[in-house]
Amino acid sequence: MRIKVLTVRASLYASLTTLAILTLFPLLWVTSIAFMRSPEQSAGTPPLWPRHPTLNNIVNIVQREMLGHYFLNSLIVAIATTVLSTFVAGLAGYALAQVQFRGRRVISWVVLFAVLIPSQALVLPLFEMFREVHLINHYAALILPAAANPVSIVLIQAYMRGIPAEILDAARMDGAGEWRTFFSVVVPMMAPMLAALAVLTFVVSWNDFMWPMIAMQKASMQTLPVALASIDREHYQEIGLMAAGATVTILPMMAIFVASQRYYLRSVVAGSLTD
Amino acid sequence: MASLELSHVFRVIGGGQTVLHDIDFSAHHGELISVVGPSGCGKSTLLRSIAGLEEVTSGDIFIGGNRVNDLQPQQRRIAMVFQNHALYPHMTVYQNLAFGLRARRVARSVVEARVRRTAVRLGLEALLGRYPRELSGGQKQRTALGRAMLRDPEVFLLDEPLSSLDVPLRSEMRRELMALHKSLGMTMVYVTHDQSEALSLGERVVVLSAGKIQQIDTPQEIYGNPQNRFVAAFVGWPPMNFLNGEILGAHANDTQNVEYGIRPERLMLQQHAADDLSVSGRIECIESLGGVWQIEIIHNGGRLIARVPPDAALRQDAELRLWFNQTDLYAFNRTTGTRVKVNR
Amino acid sequence: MKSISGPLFVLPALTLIALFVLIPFLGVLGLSMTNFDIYVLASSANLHFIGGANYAHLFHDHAAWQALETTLTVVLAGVPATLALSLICALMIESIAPRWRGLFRTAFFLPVVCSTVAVAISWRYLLNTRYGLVNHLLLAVHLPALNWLGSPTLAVIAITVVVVWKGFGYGMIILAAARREIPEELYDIARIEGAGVRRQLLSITVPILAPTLGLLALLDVAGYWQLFAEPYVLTQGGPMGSTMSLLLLMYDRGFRWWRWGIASALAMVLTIIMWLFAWLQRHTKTSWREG
Repeated sequence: MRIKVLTVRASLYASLTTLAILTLFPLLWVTSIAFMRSPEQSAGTPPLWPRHPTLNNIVNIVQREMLGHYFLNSLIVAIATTVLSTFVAGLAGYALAQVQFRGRRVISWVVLFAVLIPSQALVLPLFEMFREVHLINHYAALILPAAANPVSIVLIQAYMRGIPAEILDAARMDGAGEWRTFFSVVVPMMAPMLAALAVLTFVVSWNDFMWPMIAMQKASMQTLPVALASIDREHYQEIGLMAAGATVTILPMMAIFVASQRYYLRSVVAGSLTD
Repeated sequence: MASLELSHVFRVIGGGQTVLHDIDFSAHHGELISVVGPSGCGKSTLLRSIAGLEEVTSGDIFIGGNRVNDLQPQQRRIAMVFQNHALYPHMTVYQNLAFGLRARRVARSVVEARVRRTAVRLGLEALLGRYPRELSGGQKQRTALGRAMLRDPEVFLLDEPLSSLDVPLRSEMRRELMALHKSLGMTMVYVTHDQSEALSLGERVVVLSAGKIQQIDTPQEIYGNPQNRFVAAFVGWPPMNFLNGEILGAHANDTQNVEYGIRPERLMLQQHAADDLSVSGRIECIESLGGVWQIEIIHNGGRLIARVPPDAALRQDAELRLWFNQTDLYAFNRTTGTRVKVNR
Repeated sequence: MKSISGPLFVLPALTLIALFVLIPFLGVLGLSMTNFDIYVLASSANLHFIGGANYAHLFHDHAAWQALETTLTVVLAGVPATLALSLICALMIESIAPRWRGLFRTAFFLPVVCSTVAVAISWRYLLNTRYGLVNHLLLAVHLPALNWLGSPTLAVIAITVVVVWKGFGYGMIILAAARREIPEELYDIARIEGAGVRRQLLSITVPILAPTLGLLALLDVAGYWQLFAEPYVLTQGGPMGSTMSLLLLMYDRGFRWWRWGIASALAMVLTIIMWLFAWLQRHTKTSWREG
């Protein structure tokens, strides 16, 4: 019986390890290719590991294709989106959960309805709207629509409902105004949820593709994935170059995820188990 | 023939910690044994070991005369009721009751008949179509009991089955459980951290602490004749008062190494017999519990609690002398905690 | 407590949602019933209300039907595969020693946080007919090399594989958390009652996780239904339009041919079918909580 238990356990670890390697392989391999010299990449199937690692591909794509510039665009958009979206959703989620006012129910329903609308189906009128106000090719065209995030509001609302109203009443009775209550009591209480949503929003914004491609017609304004896709159209034969581009795009998100996975995973779980 | 027997059972876990230390007792057929101890004393581990959910490191367990150490839980002829009822949330009462029989591939018609019979017996017949979340605490409890009864076990194991119920329901279920035990005539092991529950339910009580059996006896003996300081302190509420020998005056063989114990309900306001003993002290506080008053006095820096009939003459901060019969005085070895004879 | 702070706090979010979700939604709805195209772009005098004509057009448009079929195929094949993989990984992770769990969780979740464009590029090299590693391995075991992205059927399969690979980590996290919520006593009782590992899985774990699985199914459907970047990078909708998803077709009609009326009608069809999925999920009895 002992032996049977051990066999089961061993095969469990073996299958998990195999699956994990299979899952990570596409990511690891592309990173590996990014550091290979050109003969290795182009002569048939590239090996698994660069024999003579080089930074040439990275240097190439950063200098020749201005990848640093796109990186900066992505960074600006992602940070602004995260800050704005988290702040706005935090205010609204809190008010909808814990402040009594007329129209609260109706607004909650409007937010829920907005959750059900696939954002990518809206790109045509969005494009027309931003064209009218001459904001195509401006960061605002990416930041503002992404900050309209009904899912975050619903999540914060659900989270805030779990906080006893007495704590907030106590703060108000201490004479704190609504703003003061919000910043000194509410924000610290929902900090874990806000942190989680911030990471989530950042990653989603960084990886967004369709709308940034449409809204940023000028090459110099493109974000990393959009630029990567258009470089790819021209240079997709240059495996090393494209692998370097993919690596530069992926690595920051992997790093952010690994560093903040406690928060991140909590938001993922909260998003599906609370309702 | 004992229907449950544990012989020198040890359980040592990964870190080398002994969770069960030389557990050795038996329950005869139809006996209700309660196992009581503070949390972490190993009582749940003991029950789970009997059930076969955990392996013992050494020692033997016999159920109905057969050694069951190597048997799977379902082969041991035991049934178990858990604290949180452990009803399957996605199954109706009927499905919960039938699950074990179905797992053993009992014919559908037989399952139906047996489930119905048990349901009628427990007053569940109107609830068979309900889900656990639609049941009250008592109904959940009865369903969990029904499921256990349907296993037709040799030994019935109950792990704090009443502690998730509120107080009035708890005493009602306690009575039901005793009636059930009487009518089924099954051997039961009842684990609880509540000493009053253990005393009121068990025909015999096992007091467990730190993985060791402190005493096995009838409730009367456990209460009236505790074998060591732990049992004396753990059983009874409010807990026994402990005083060192010097404070009380030299009455024992060796005052240095003896600690005296006296139960709060044995302290009296008047002297009843000529050889009654007494302590005196300042009244620290008086708490009225209705028909009885609880008085705390400070005696030479020690604290004593007494339960006495209401007396309007008692005042806080006043001096008070409390009397007790010599036979109500217990003495314990200060280092080992074992009971020693009081020297008259 | 009544004060103006409530409306004030909600106002920014509500403004953003109204401007960038609700108004555009009405816009799509309106556009889908006009002849908006490149001529209207030149002069708005050409704009006409044409009712359901765009929908009627789509109904007879072979490309639209093919896009629907392709997207539906990816959803119908991808979602069950994702759920199965998520569940298997979640249950395996929850049954190993806690200190190793984080490592595997991270490994399975990493594809979720990566840019679709970037991972699609790496997959394209893996699947390349001449030098791709997948074919290299096939040849190594004496199987024929396959033209993964060049054959209509294989291309759809390849895209489904990429989508599942990128998505299953998400469900794995959620199912693992839900599995932890199941009290261990249920399994103790099941063992006492004689239920083996298989029966425990089928009679306890899966039914109790069913509501979570149902919710995940909906989330996965909603995600996969908006398939865009994978075919955009891997195949540009080819070969022969076989991997043209609904969104890709909408993008193509809208921003290549400037036929906004048609493209908007496609967006509406996409939205409505997604609502249908949501409605179906709510009314399928996956949930014992709702009885």
